[in-house]
Amino acid sequence: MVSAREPLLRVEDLVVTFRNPRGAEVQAVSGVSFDLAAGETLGLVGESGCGKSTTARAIMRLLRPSGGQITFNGISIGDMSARQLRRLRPGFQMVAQDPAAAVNPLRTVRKIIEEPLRVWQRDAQAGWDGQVSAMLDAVGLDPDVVANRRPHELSGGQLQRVCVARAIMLRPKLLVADEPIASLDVSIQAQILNLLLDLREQLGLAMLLIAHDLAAVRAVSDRVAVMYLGKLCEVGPVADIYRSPAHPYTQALLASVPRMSQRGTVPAQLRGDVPSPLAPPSGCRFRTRCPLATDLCAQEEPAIREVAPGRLAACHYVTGRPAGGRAAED
Amino acid sequence: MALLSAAGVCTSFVTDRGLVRAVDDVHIELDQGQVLGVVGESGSGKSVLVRSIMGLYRLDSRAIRRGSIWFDGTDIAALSARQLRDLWGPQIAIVFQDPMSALNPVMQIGRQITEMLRHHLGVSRSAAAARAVELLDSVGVPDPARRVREYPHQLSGGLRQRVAIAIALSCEPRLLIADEPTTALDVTIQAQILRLLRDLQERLHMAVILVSHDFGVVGSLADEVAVMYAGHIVERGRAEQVIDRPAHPYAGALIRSTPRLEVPPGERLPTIGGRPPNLLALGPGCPFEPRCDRRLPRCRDQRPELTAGAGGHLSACWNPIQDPQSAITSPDGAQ
Amino acid sequence: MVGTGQELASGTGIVYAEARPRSRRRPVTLYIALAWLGVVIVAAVFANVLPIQHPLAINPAVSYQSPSAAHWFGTDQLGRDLFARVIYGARISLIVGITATALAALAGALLGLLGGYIQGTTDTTIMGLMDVLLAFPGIVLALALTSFLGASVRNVILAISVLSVPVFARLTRSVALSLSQREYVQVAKTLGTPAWRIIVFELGPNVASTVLAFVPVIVAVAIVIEGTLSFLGIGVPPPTVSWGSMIAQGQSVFATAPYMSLMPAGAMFATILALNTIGRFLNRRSDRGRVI
Repeated sequence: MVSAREPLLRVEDLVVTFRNPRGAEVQAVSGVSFDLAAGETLGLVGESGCGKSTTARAIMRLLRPSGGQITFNGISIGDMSARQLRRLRPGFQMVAQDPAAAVNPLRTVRKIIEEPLRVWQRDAQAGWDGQVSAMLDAVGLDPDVVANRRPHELSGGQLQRVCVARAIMLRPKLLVADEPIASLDVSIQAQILNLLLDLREQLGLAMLLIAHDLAAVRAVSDRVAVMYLGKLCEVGPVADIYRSPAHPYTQALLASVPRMSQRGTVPAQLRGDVPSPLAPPSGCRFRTRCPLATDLCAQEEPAIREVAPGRLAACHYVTGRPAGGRAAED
Repeated sequence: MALLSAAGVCTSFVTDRGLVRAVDDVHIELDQGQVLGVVGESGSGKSVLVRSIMGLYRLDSRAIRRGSIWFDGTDIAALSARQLRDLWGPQIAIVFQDPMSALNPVMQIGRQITEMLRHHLGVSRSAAAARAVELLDSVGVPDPARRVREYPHQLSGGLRQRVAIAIALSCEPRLLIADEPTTALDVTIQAQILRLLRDLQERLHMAVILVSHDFGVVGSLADEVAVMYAGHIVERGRAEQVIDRPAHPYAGALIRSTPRLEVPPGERLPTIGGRPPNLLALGPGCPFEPRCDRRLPRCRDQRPELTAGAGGHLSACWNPIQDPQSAITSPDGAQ
Repeated sequence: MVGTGQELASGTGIVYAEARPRSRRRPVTLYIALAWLGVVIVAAVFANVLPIQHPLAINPAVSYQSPSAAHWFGTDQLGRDLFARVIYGARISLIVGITATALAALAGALLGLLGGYIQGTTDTTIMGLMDVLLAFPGIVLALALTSFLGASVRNVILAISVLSVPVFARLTRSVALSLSQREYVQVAKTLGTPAWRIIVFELGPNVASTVLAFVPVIVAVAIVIEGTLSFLGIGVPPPTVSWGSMIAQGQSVFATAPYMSLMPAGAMFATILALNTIGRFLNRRSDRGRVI
């Protein structure tokens, strides 16, 4: 995690704990650390229950972290009061999964996109219309057609563009996109991914992209971080990791994606289900499904450490199979 | 003789905005033991199609149905509602995207299986109970003897889907319809379920119709693939033909715009321009015409029928893609 | 799932609109209710200029007259025309009912929104207060307030609106609670929108339709309470005409001059019924997600 200058976002040992209805404590995020440099896109991937969305919400301070530090632009925002935090809000914005739910159904598109300007009283009233139109253009929508429509008259893809427009209205430095394309059709997903790529170039945005679709993450990210059951498994440049994943979970994840180029064959399977976050396995949390697991894995949790320049992984056996390790399934 | 032979299937819905032709003039043929993949985005009609084949719209007064559906020599459309229900289970079964809506949340999962067995096959209570445990085991539910007494909410998504599959297969149907069976599941669980479906299909020699928006999912299991758009089948052929050398511009564009692991990162994805079709106002021509970059003047006025093309498979296009270059080979040929 | 119902616009721009059930027409009873209410409101508003007798005109010579051509509803013990009195009574009922409900709706909605959005101690305190108010038998509270503050139209309105606040508070609180979890409220927070703005502009309009659907019903309740208070003699003081006091006055002579009580009671009954019918219709629409 060495970087020449201070990263835009630094997350250190982030812990988020929830209490389930029965009063038991669940650690959705158990000590996650990563950096995000200005202008960089980091993809955060993992399957359900891994804690990636919770991490995003903690960074957006939609919930309060239970432990660890979040530093944005050099300022520690992890346990800042809501009032102090408000002033920093324009710097980091969010786009969420369901665009239809993320907009007030009673408002017009113009009012929705204008809202950030209105809240922060940026520029005179006269200038807003122009800015709204410019922003709609920037996200690929025709202002004359769309500005005075209401959300239910727009498609999912169009609504997501509106949400993106709203998010970048205040020229944030960081955009947190939490599964931005998951609820969209395949052909629309490509459009939104392209939009994110374009905006990144034009505005120099740093982006934290949370997604379960590995291919989508690859299309947009510089680096990727893989999470499992609240912990980080692996972090590094996306092309490197996808070409030669170091952590067994990353390997399994990539191998599970059905490829069109491998027609007629079912992708390799990882056995078992994700353990309950209420009672995560001792030592390495992935060990119950890992083909390389040994007693060491049960006794000692592997720390995340550098296994190659710029690449981190949390596994005892990154460099190869251990003697006597159990064979992989199928 | 084909196991399933559906011709001219049309299903429309009366809504207060007008008539929606969800499925328009679709022909399907399927042999025993064959796997057909149906690919399309939302609104393509793929889910309505398979539900029509099953006859699920019989009792829906808003649905207008046409066409003939012959299953194993019987005209399904002519069956009474009662006879149709008897068909469901032993002959045709369906697995849905959301297992929670297919499972009764207040009934033990074992009982949901035994109910099927006892109702359709008249099996005795003890035999049904034993068979339920066997079935759970065969779909890969760990510790089935204990799980039999559990309720759906106690299981994970992947396990629930396995249970839904067990229920669907309990009477060993000739035809299994799987409508987006893995869309709601994590990718590692999806791989498990796909393998399960393949194993079961091979063992029981079932015919399977697998509906998905994901070419990769369909490609892993299907022998034949049909691509749907705006209620029509626009391309059909063997899986390798359709996926490797799509002839219909929509199929080609859809395959190309799917983000893939192989493509170099940071490159813009090719996209399909325009907007999805408005099923309330389809013109006389090809429904994909407004968005097609290969369109000809006649595409607007006349809807093309499915015809065999240079690649040897069927596509409904006046100007199909002739280029033999595969849509999915990556620049360096590696995976 | 695509199928017989709605398919949400998930990137397709197509909405298979939910096919309406056959009984889509508004029920006839709704129109009757609206018509009656319209008549009552118009009559009450224009009472001064209507060609009716003066409600306070005493004429002992024609006391206790049954309904006739001269006096459509008959006369009371002082010879006052009952028809005119019923109309003027409508005035009071409507004024009290609508004002009290409006005040309660505003105050209750505000409290409910605050509690439902801010949650925590604020919510507990507000809801505790509401529980206390609800625990009081309504009449006792109204009695206490009017006897403490004195009987007047203003105090009756005050008493009734205080009684009705908890209803609206609870209603809006539950809506606010669920809306607070909605994505667009969360997004508003991340935009740095101050809490008051979220409450007024994001939650408010969405709560409004639910509140409006309840208004007619609460107005009906308010009218009943006012009538009861007046019946008990602790409502609006004479000489102001009220249906409740009219019913009270006719009570002792019910055997011989039933019309004295029946006319105002009938008017009250019809008005309550109309309000409830409208309220039910609005509630059904609100349940179906239709914003008024």
